[in-house]
Formats: sequence, structure tokens, C-alpha cells
Amino acid sequence: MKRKRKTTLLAAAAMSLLGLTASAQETVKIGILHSLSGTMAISETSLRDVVLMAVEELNAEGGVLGKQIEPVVVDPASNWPLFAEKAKELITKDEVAVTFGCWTSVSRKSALPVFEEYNALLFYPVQYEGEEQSLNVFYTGASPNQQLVPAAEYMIDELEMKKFYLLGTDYVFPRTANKVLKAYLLSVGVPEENIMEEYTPFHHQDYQSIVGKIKTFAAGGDACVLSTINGDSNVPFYKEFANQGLTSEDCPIVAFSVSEDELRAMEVPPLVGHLAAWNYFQSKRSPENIAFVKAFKAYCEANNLPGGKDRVTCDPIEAAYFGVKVWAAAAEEAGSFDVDKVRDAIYGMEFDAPGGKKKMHPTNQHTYKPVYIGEIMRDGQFKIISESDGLVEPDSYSALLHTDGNFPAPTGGPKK
Amino acid sequence: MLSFILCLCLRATADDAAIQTHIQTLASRKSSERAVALDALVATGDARMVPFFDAYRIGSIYLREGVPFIGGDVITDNNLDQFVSLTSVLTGETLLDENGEPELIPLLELENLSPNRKERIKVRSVSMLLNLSSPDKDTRLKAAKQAGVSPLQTDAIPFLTGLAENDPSRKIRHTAAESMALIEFGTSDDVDVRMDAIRSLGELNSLRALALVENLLEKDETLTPKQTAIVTAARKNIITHQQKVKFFDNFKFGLSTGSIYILMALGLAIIYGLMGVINMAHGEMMMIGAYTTFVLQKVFGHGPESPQNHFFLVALPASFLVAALVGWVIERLVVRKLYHRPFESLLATVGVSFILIQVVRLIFGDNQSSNSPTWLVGGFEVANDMTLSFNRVFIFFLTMAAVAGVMVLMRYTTFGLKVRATMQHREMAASVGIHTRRMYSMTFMLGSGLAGLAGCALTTVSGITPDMGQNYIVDSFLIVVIGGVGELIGVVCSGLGMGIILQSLENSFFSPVWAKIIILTMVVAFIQFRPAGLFPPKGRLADV
Repeated sequence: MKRKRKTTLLAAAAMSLLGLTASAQETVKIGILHSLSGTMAISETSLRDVVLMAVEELNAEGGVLGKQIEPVVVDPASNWPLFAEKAKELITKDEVAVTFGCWTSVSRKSALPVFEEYNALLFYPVQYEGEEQSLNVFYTGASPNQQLVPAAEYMIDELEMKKFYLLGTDYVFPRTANKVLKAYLLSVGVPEENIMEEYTPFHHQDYQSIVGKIKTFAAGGDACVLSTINGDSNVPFYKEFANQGLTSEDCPIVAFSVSEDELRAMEVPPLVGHLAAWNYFQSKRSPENIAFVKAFKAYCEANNLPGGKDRVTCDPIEAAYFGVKVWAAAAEEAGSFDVDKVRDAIYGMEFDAPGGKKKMHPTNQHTYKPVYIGEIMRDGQFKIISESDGLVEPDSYSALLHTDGNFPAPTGGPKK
Repeated sequence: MLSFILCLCLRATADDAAIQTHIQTLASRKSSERAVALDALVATGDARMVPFFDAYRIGSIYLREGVPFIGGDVITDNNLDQFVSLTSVLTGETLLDENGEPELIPLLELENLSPNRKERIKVRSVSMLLNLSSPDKDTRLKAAKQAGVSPLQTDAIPFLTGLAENDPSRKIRHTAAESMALIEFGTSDDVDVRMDAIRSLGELNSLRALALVENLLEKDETLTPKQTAIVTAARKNIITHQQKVKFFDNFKFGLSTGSIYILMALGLAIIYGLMGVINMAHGEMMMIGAYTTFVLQKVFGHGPESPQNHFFLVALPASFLVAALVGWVIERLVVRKLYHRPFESLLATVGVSFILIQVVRLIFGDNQSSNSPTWLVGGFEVANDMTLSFNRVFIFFLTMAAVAGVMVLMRYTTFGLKVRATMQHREMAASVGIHTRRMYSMTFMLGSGLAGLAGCALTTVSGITPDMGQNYIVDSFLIVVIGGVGELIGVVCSGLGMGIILQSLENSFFSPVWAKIIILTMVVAFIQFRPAGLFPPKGRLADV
């Protein structure tokens, strides 16, 4: 008995020694392509943080296929063409097995041709406007039918709204999102004159006249704002909204780009009662989620990241986190880091994310997710007031925009 | 439902046991059982149902061992465990711990009642009716306004009549009369009643009724000529009022935008106009002012829950001083070496601005929340539908004060005299004993300090980000160039002018993107005809 124990110990020591040497020699590189400076740093820095945290967790468990993961962090600096250059650098110079990155759709569109040219893999963690399906991207954020349409549906069914003010920042996501929303609203019988559409430039700070217009629009009641305003414009918008005497009762705002992380930068009281639609909220009560939130706070504190333990999780943070885990599980299953094998392993994969069970779509690169509508509370968190029945199947191309049923074929894929 | 409200006045209390049982039934999974229980609760006509319904609607009713409580705000501790303080529905007493503080109960020990949509709508209209007789002015106003929104209830009319005639607040009287007319129009089958309602909506200048009235004129073909005349008259009334409001808004928005422009451009005009240095880091001085305000807010512990409004009175001078100090350092280290090389100083200050942005980002991170002092939140109504926001009014007066201060400083003080002398002819000024280096340094500090002040004021209208200065720098340069270099009055005129034109464009049928394009085109055209700006420098300075 004693002897046996000794040998086991020896064997364990030998194995760990082997493991050590293996990890010293054999690593697998992954790329992190998030802006750490410029406009989008405000949102994307958190995603880098959570991806590094996921990597740390995986490495502590022994890595992937016995190899330690070595993250390569680059900074595309909110400069859209630079995303393509940095992606190329990651793929050709660092030879990363996979890349996690991008936030704005324009940055993804810029890097996409590079990933397709080299048949490399990108995990994209942010809700977006859809109308895309590249075999070289896995979309772990929501497609329009998992966020935009359910929110509009909720406003009509539950709050009996009749007038819709579509307000967004002027770039590809809000423009396409509003196209989808408008098509949906028209399809359920909202008359055209009850839909207003307006865009402001990036960084727009002066929302006086827009809020004035909303006030006129909402004067008769039953009106709401569907907001795809992105970035730092949200703060002046909500402040002006409150200061002109409008409340969530006069005209609720449903935001598609305001999460817990953005709320940290805002004066919350004027926002209380307004809504947001996401597939994950930090306030989701489940042991897995509580553990995740705690781990993230602890990670930020331990690594002296700005904000420390006051940091919060949000939908894109969760999506970026489980993206890493999905890739690792798929590589294990495929027994290889080869992009084509990993891709096949990901299709249809079921997995536990912090926010609950989720599933990758068997064919269209997107993720099955639940849909939540949350109401902003005084502490900057959301109270979940509506929840979809189970997971919602993602669309890559919206049936609302392709009414003839002719969906474009996916792009990219294995090299011919 | 009216009978229920009457009950309420007659019977203050109902059977406690019955209420408790009904509330417990609301936790049932069967919606039919819940509907019966909710009706029964409404029918009790108990005064305690007012806070109960309000809390129930937002999902803040908890059962603890079967006893119903109203929950306060949910508190999350560092361990992410959630707690809530509880107030009994039946006795109205809050549970206290041994120190006499509200006891915090773990959320997991409680059962939460959350209504579905149908229940929420029902409860909302019941609370609205109850709130019409609330002693609180704001609650009454809100309820009076809500009464005019669907689902319209004729039950509200007697209450609204009372409010419209007797309420001490003019605003509530007006809103109640408006809602009453809206309900009568929306629910009555009698054409005469509806026409009367339309007539009074017109007299009330009701913006809320405009869509309704226009719809009626366009779609309803059964109107007799006489009725059409009534509706048209009402529409004319409302539209005239709307135009007045719009004019007021354009003017107000323009003044406000303009005053922000002026405050930003003032410091730049001093540095660029008097020293000829193009300071691209000017926006970052503003950002530093904003972060100074943010830091002071943290130091004073100001927040929405515990307002420490005096922090702002400290922040105003502090942001000026901190920015001036940073300006002094920049002048010493960078600008001083480059006085005769404008392009190099431009490039060097661009570099400084990037350094400042990244340093601030590294220290504070990207997301920071700012809370204005509570007296700068909200606004007041000058006339019907015409409101002024406190923060905008504050910025306007701050700007005026800053402009006046700078003018006095430049015109009537020895410092101003020396500065002007140095700017006109440096060598000559030096030869009469003016310490010209110090004059440059102090001018740079003054300009930077004014930007810091602008940053502090801007925290009341927008957020705080490391690159916030970049949003304003281009506009500020435009203002200075249009105004004419070195003339404060030029900055005031061009700032206000640009603000009013921009806002009028945006408020008509142009989107902000187009408004900006049009403004820039106008500026380019203007510069073609008056390259020296509105107030070109005269005399000797013109040759420089």
C-alpha cells in the first residue's frame, strides 16, 4: 500500500515535470484584436480583460490539448483599416490559432477579408446588425432577431406603444438595425408616419434639438425611442432627456448599446426606468453567473486594472468569455487546432455559459441565446422584466429584409 | 371602478386576514386565480392598497413566511449577495435590526411577486386613479398627465374636474383640463361632446392633441362643415402655439450651445489671438478640468444617494487652477521653445494632447460617471411647454461671467495692459521693463484655466472621457477664426451666431449630420469673403 502510494507520487511528480517542460516548449498562440486606445477603448478594453481571464483559467486547468495558451494582444486603436493590418500580422507573423476581437461592425468588415483570405478564425462577441455569414467568423453576440425584434415586439405587446423614434449613431450597425426594425414595425401594421428615423455623428454631444423633437413626437403619448446610440454620446443624450423633463413614463427609451459597463460612466438617476434589450445581464441570478461576476471582479482587482472590484460584467463580456471556452472545447473535441476541424466541432455544440446553457447553431455560425428585457435600476444594474421562452434561434440574414426567401450564401471557408 | 374609489373614501381599512390571503394568492401559478385575487384587492378599497399597487407594479412585493412586504431598493454587497429592506403592507412598519436601522433581509429568503403584463396594466390604471387625489404635487401632476393616455378611463373624469377647478398648482389645473378633454374626445359617442372637447383642447393649446386633431382632419370624412371649422380652428391654435414653442426652443438651444462654444473658445482665443500659438492640447485642458471635478466629487463623496452639492463650488475654482497649472508646465517645457515656429508648436501640442489623453486613460480607465449637483438637475417651466434646464442656464451665466471677467482683466488692469503691450510688440515691451516671458506664461495659464473651467461646467451636460476634448477642439478653432483673431467680442458673436444657426438647422428638417455639413460650408464661404473674421484686427496688429 505504502509502496504503491510512493510510486503514484513519483509518477505524478514525473508527469508534472513533463507537463512543465511541455508547457515551457509547447504553447498555442491566440490573438486578441480589441482597441485599447481611441473612441472604442471605452468598451473594448473590458473584452481584452475578460479574454485574458478566460485564458488564465484555461491555462490553470492545463491548457488546450496539453498546450498552454499564449495570448498575443495587439491594439488596432479604433482605426478601422488598422484592424485588417493587425489581423494580418496576427495570422501571418504570430501564426495564431484563433483571434478574438472587434466591436464595431465597421472594424469587423475591415478585418473580414483578411480572415477569409487566410482561412483563419475570428470570434466576434458583440450584438450586431446581421446580414453577414462568413465561415471564418463565429458570432457569439446577438443577431437582430435575438435583440432588436424581440424588444420592439415587447414595446408593442406589453407596453402598447404605437409610435417609434429610431435614433442612432451614423454608421453601419444603427443604419442596418433600423432597417430591420422598420421592416418589422411596418410588417406588424405600424403606420409609416408613426416611425421616425434619425442619426447623429459619432461623439455627438449636443442633444438639445433631438430631445426637443422627441418631445414633440411623444406629446400624444404611446411613443418610445429605440436607441442605437453608441459610445460617449449616450451620456449627454440621457442627461438632456431628463433635463427637458421627459421621464421613462412619458417616453421610454430602449437601448441596444447601453450595458452595465456603459452605465458605469453615466449619472444613473435620470436613466432609472428606461430599458435595454440584451441576452445577458449581470443581475441574472444563478450560481454560475455569480461565480463568473466574482471571478471577473477578482481578476480586475488582482491585475490592478482601472476600476478594480467595481468593474461589472455585461453581455459582450459574457459573449467574449464563452467564445474562448467554446473554441477550447472545440479544439479538444477535434483533437487539433486546424481551423476547418475546429469549425466542424463548433457547429451545434452545447455548452454552459455564465448566463446559462447556450448552443452554437449547427450551420450558420451564430449562437442560440435567450433574450432579456431589463429595466435600469438605481445601482446601475438591470432588473430583468421579460425573458424569452428558452433559447432563440439566430438568423444570419433577416427574413424581414429578404422577403423573397433568397438568402445569400455564406462567404469564406476552407481554401479551395 | 368608480364604486371602488368611493368605497375608498368611506372605508379606510379592510379585513387584514382577507388582504393577506388575497396577496398570497397573487403568488399562484394560475393566472385565473391571480386575476380573482387582484380584483378582490381592488374591491377592498383599502387605503393601504395605494403603496401596495405601486410596489406590485414594479415587482417589489415580497412574501416572507406568507406575510406580504413592500421591498426597498435591492442592495448588492461585495459578495454579490442581494438584500432588501422590508416594510409591512398591513401595518406600514419597516422591519428594524437591533440598531434601529432598517434590517436587510437576504433576497433568497423571500418570495417575490412579479405581475404579468395584464396585471401591470390593470394596476397602473388603478394607481393612476388613486394618485389623482395624492397630497404630493408631483404625483398628482403625473397622474393627471397619465389620465390622458390610453387606456382612457371615464372614471377619472370626476377627479380631473376637481383638479382642473381647485388645484393650487396652475400646471396641474391645466394638465387635468387637457386630460379630461382627451378622455371625453376618446371615449364619448356623442359628437357634440367630442366637438366641445376639441374646442377646449384648442383653447388649451394642447400639443398632446395635435396628432389627434390632424388625424381627424385627414381621415374622418363624416365631419360636417361646421365641425370641420371647429377642428381647423383648434388645429390653428395648437400649431401657432407649437411654432412659438419651437421659436423659443431654437433660441434657447442656440444660446446654450453658443455659450458652451464661447466658454471653450475663450481660452483658445486668448492663447491663439494674443500669443499666436496654436494650442492643439486646449481640449485636453478642458478634459483635465472635467477630471478635476470628477476627483473632487469622489473626495467629497457626492453621489445621487448622498448629495454633497458644495463639491461643485470647490470644483469650479479648482478645475481652473489645476488646468492652469498643467498649462504652465506645458508652456515651460514645450511651447516656450517654439514661439517663433508656429507649425512646430502645433505638432508639439498635438503630441502633448495624445500624451495627456493616454495618461488619464491609464490612471482612471475609460468609464467614469459624473453626477451633477442636484440643483443643476431638471428645469423650470417659464410658460406652457417652454422649459429652461438649470444646467443650461448655469452654463450661460458662467460664460457671461467669464467673458466679462476676461474683458475687465484685459482692459482695466495693469496685468492686461502689460499683456497687450507684450502681444503688440514684444521687444518694445521688454525694453520698457515688462517681464515678457512671464507675460506669455501667465497668458497661457489663463487660457488653459478657462478651458479647465469649461470642462467643469461641461460635466453637467455630458460625460467624462479621456478624449472628450477632441469633440470640441475643431469647433472652438472655427469660432476663433470666424470671430477674428484676438477680439473677445468676435468670439462672443461668432459663438452665439454659430450656436443659434446650428440649432435652428437641427431643429428644422435637417439631421445633425447635415446641419454640421451646412455649417462647415457656411464657414468656408464666410472665410472666402472675410479672411480676417468678423472683427479683423486693426492698426499695427493687422500687419503681424
